[in-house]
Amino acid sequence: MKNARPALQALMATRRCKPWELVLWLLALAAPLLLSRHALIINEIAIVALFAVSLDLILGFTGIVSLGHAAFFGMGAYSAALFAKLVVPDPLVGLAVAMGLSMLLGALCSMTIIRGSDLTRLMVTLGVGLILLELANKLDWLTGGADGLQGVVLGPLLGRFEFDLAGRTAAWYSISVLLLLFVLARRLVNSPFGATLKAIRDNRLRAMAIGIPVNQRLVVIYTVAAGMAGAAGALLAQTTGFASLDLFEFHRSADVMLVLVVGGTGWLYGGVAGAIVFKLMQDLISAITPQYWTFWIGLFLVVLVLVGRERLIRPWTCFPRFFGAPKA
Amino acid sequence: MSTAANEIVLSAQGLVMRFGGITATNNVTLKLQRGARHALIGPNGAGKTTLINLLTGVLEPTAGRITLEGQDITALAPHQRVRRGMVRTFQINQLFDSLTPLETLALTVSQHQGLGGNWWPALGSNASVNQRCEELLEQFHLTSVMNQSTKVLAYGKRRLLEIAIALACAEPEIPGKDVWHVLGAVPVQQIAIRLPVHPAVVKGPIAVAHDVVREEATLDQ
Amino acid sequence: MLTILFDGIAYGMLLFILAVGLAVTMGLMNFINLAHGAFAMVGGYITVLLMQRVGVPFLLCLPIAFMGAALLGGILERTLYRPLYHRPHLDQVLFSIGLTFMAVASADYFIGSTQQIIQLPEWLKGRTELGQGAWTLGMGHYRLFIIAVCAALTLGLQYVLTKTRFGSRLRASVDDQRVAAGLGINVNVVFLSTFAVGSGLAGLGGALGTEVLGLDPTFALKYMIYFLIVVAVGGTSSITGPLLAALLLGIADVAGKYYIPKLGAFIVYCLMIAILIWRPQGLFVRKGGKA
Repeated sequence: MKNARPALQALMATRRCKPWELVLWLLALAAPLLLSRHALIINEIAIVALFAVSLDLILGFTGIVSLGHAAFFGMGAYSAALFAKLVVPDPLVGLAVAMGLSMLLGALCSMTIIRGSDLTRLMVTLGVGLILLELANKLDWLTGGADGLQGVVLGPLLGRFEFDLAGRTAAWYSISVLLLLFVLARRLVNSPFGATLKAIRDNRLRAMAIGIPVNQRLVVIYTVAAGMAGAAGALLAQTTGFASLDLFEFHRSADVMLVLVVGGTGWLYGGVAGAIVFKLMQDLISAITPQYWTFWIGLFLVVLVLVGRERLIRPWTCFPRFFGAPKA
Repeated sequence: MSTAANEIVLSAQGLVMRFGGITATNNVTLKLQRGARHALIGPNGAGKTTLINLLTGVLEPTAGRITLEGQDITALAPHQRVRRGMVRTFQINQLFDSLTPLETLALTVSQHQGLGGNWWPALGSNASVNQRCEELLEQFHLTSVMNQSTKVLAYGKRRLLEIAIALACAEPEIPGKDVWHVLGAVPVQQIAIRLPVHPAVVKGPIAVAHDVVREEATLDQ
Repeated sequence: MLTILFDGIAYGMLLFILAVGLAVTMGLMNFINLAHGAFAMVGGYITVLLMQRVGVPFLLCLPIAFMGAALLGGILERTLYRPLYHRPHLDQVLFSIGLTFMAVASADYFIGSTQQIIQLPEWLKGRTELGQGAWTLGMGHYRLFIIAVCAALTLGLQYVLTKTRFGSRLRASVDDQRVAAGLGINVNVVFLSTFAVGSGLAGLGGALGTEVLGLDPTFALKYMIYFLIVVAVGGTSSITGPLLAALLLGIADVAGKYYIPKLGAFIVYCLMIAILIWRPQGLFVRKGGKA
């Protein structure tokens, strides 16, 4: 096969880990040490990044527009908090349990997103999010209701590392979990399975016509994404010691969608980039006009869409001739 | 092959498709034999695409049955029919715009070889998948554009890719097993073709696809 | 029990007027407009401000609210919405959420976040009771008023849709935009006027609803889910679909909150999810039409 090599190399090239990625992750792992005064916000960024990456799996790669992803985030948070309070305060076990429960919820909810148009799915995901909010509200003997679940104290990580007040351990913990799950997600999207997801996103009809069991794939990816979102929620509850109803609110789902869109959908790092930008912006703007953050976000969204998401995030797509034809 | 020529492989009995007040498919019965080539001819609006959609499972018939190799497939989903060997192309290209031809074929071949569910290995890591992609890309003159996003390809290349995808699903899992092709060729005619997968014969339907009128004479019905 | 039914019908009719604009524009332009609630909010605030600051009588505020919201809708359609019709749904969702956030924050900033209270004219206050015992029908006069206005509007809408030329142009554009344009129908004008009227109706509904639903900056988002339910369940290919869906929703909500207060809002959400799973295209889709 005289053309074997170029094709192979072409495919393999996108899968290999690029040098800048290694640098990025090394920096990320070093950040709690180098920027120890900002450990708290680093922790928050890692959590939001994980949440956004989980949304990318279903939104960016599979094309499911969900307005209720916060349902799994909240589920993870409350599961971890309750587990620490009622069973065992070990962080890793709690994380695993929270992920498991979120995946269960995700599997259940995935039944609802299989059929229907974009609008139906929007509705259903929104509805599920609201139902969970109501549930958490009504089961206040379990969840603390509107007051939230407080006083979640965790034991040392891996039995050795205490969660310090400065938040360094927490930041490392979150970044490590983010890295681990990110690596898994990366393998997933670069695999044949991931390619079939993209096929479903681009042309569901054709995906069916080449033998892809669309419904099955949707259920699987939705479950996985739910688990990841649950992990993010668990990290939040564990590192802040607190879980509250607003984790289920529509705002959270809208915010994480914004984070992902800012960073760019469909390339996994979008969640990370978006989280960094979003959190830093939030910090900055909150210092100036605390209450009207909503307005600026709204304006940003409107402008973003009008200008075109692609052009804002990847300015080089404005000039395809200069930079070569864009890869998917 | 000719001794088994009379064996009915795909048949439909009493297929009816109603959309509200319109009966698009009215009690259709057809029997397709092994190795035969058929043309389904009709003017616009006659219901050819509807029939193809019924056969491939995109639409659920209001009444009737479809049998493939003796087994009732009426209730099967489209992807399950594909696994049994029924493949189709689309009159209006149905492609994956954000993927490249290489990625498209790689994913189709992977799926066809049963690797579509693998989430750990990378897409370009399977040698047999890669080899099959090479073959298809060369056969359809897509090698030069294999790394370009499908969205930017010219119509001719898109059409070639469309057919390449269908052929990618046609590679037999069991050597020598017959494979179905349902080709949508030109606006006026659509052709159902059955062929054993043999490298030389594989070129056959391609010629038909692009030049139907002349090939009409070689079709059975 | 009859009172509950009555209240549910009133609530449902109100929801219908609020949501019908959304149903039509969604069916017409295939645009998921989550900012529809913001137009309703605008109508509500126009009414409140006019009544409180300028002393305009309530009845007069209603058409003004309609006009105000319609004008705003028309301007936004022409400038912001139109370039986005062929964008993917995600973009539309993000855009309309952005608009809503801006509206909510602006209302908060300029008017404040307290609940707005309006003083209804005397003749709309009060209540009439018919029957006795378990079959008492208590009709609040205001709710009666709402039902009357909304019923009249519904009949008017149905008339326009079925008996006027504009209505047939609208229906043609909903069915198939390209063919309609090919027939010489000025689709842009149809879109603009439909969007404006839809937003106007939302504004009117917001004005009517201030007494019943309350009005504060969170109104835009709070009730958005209900509008979406009406549209998703009722379908976008007729107005009777959303009407029935709205009535169903209104009665279910009121009855649910009364009989099983513990579960209140659940009923509505679960019902919606169940219906959408069973019939993803909505309960009342006209066969053959594009859902």
